[in-house]
Amino acid sequence: MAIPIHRQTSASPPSTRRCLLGQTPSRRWLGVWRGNPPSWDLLLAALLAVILFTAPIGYVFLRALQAGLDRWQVLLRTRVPVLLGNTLILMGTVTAGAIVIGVTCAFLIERTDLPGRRVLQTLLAMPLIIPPYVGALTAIIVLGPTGLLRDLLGRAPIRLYSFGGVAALLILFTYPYIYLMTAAALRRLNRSFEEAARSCGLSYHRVVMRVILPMLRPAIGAGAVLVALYVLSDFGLVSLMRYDTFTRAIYFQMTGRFDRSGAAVLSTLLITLTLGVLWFEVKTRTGKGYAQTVGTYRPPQRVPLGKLKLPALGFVLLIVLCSVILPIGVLLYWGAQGVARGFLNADLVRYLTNSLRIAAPTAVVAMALAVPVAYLRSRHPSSISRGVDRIISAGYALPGVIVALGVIFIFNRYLPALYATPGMIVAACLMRFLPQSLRSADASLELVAPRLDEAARGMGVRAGLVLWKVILPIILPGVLAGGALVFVSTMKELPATLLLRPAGLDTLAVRIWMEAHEGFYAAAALPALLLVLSSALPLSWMIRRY
Amino acid sequence: MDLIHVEKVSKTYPGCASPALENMSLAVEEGEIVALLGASGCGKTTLLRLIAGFERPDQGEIALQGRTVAGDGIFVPPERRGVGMVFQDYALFPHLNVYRNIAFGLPRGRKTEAAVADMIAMVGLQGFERRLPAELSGGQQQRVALARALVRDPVVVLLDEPFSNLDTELRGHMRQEVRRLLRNTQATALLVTHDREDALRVADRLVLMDRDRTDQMPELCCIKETVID
Repeated sequence: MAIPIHRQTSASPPSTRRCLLGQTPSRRWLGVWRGNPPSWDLLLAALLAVILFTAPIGYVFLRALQAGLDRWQVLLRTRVPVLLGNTLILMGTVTAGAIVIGVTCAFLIERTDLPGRRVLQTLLAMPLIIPPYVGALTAIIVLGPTGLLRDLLGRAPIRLYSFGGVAALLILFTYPYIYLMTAAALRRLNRSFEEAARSCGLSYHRVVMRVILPMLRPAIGAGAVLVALYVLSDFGLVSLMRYDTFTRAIYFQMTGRFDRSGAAVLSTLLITLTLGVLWFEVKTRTGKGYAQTVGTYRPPQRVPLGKLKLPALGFVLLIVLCSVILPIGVLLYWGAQGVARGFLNADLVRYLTNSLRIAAPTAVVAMALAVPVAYLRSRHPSSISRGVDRIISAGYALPGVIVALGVIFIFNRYLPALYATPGMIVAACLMRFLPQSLRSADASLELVAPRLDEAARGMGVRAGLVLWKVILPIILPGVLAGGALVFVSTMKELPATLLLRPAGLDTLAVRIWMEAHEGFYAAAALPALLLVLSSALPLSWMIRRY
Repeated sequence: MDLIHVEKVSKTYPGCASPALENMSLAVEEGEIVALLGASGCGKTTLLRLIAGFERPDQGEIALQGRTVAGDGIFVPPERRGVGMVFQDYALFPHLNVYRNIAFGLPRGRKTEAAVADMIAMVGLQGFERRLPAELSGGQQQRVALARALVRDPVVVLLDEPFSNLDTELRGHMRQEVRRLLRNTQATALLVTHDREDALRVADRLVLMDRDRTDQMPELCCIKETVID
């Protein structure tokens, strides 16, 4: 958790500081900033980011309000009960399943003598590079009603297009959030807590139940919130699996019925669900900052698994097989088939270039906005900078279909010149993924002592320039890492790109979805393989650096 | 009969070339407060962890109250040794309040409630029962850690560098306080420290630990001047 840095401002009396337009700031303005107001360029960047974030969503709400009572009533009576039930049950099931798998795997890897845990540790995090809709594609190729297994066995072994199928696939591609957070918490958990519990007379089994699990609760909770938010926002997987949730309904309300008001009404309800999950997170997190006591750190003790060694290894291998090895194997096989059938052509290159044309500018703008906003929050603590940070951070929870709807409203009305240009997709992806670069910039900024800023000021560098001349060069690796994350996320982004792309602008993600939707799996496999590769490369670069 | 009896114990951590402890022997009598004094890295914490049961000795034997707890093919796990431990970082459970930290692992019931209440009164933390460890000062955290170790009437209290996380002023006060509490409960205690002042103020007897050997010292009063020189 980031710790706000409260700065002493005794260096120069506040009244001599210049800020907006060079005038002496008012007493009230100084009070808001605790005597340490930021320079105007920082404020301008923050303002830009806030407008980018609030305007589209505000407009969605406005349109929902204008939709009229009768439309609300019709939707509430017909569509909403089913959608609400489907979405909530799916969210609950997937979150519970991901917790069971994620926590079990984390414990087996970090705290037992499981053989091969070094390799398994990496493999268990790998599903994150496979977009869930690509995962669904591979499952349909193998298990679907017209899949490989039907060709071999004569009939499909399971009903893939069912609640169980959707939930199982979502669990397989989201459990890494919980696994990674829990494993990191287990590594940080000081061994002395377990030893203290044992010297209080508890057996290891009871230590796990009464000390380790309760202390992991914040980490498990944080991961569970990510999974729940993902399920609410997922469009690609549920639409390929033909399972009706809010996102799929909003998409078809917009594309099938051209009913933007109805889409706005459904979006408002989905945002309310999202806010509910976020509220739950804030509520369970506050006051539970389990500060780890300082002191000598000892690596944790590993429990011998004994007779359970084989079943445990089998369990982890099964997870890895289903979530990593099979999907990638299927993609490789069908990719090769695609090459043989001549799908490796100029079109594929065009899809890749289109993806890059959107992902690269998004990453650059995200980095450019993240640095001033993070700096504002860290070095000029106030209610304003905290608010800016909160608003932008909420972006990660917004489903892509809703962001797309808001962006359509705004560009249609206020920026018609830019309507139906790639700029709309960039704007939507910024809303969704700016928080990633913001967190990354934040984390590296926390490591730079505010003394350094003050030293630069003392040597006569203007306040606005300190950030660019002193701080940016130091935090650049962290900022670039954040940019890489945004780049990867934008490459994989499906719903907003699908809704906002100008005619003919097919990206890899769009192409995969369209081919899979039409049942041309061989044609979908090759772009999918390319997409997985293009997101694996920046991520492995990041992992190697850190 | 000695309360703690350590006989020629050796321990090498896996992956380490040199032993952390070699042929170490030590005896502590009932009711004594003994300080193990030595530079860091001389194996004193390892000795403490061997007695508590967090590590297994490679060789030698450890007995508590005449019962072998480690060595000779026997190994009693820490939860069945009845040893109280005060950790350097206190290791208070951050998700439990003061009361539940102290009562941790004790059977529920009126007897426990009374014992915990008495212990809270003794360490002077009345009114802090519902606080979480993060809401306590360093000195208060240490009192909780000590209370948690003492309340279950341990065979021996082991204290690992208990004062290293306190500032100088508090340190002096807590030394007196810890000595008073150990005396009042008539507990046997083994204290590990690298600070001579800690050892002199709290313990009845000092054991100087050098690498590979122990020099048992006579009564504290006799050696006080020599050590301070």
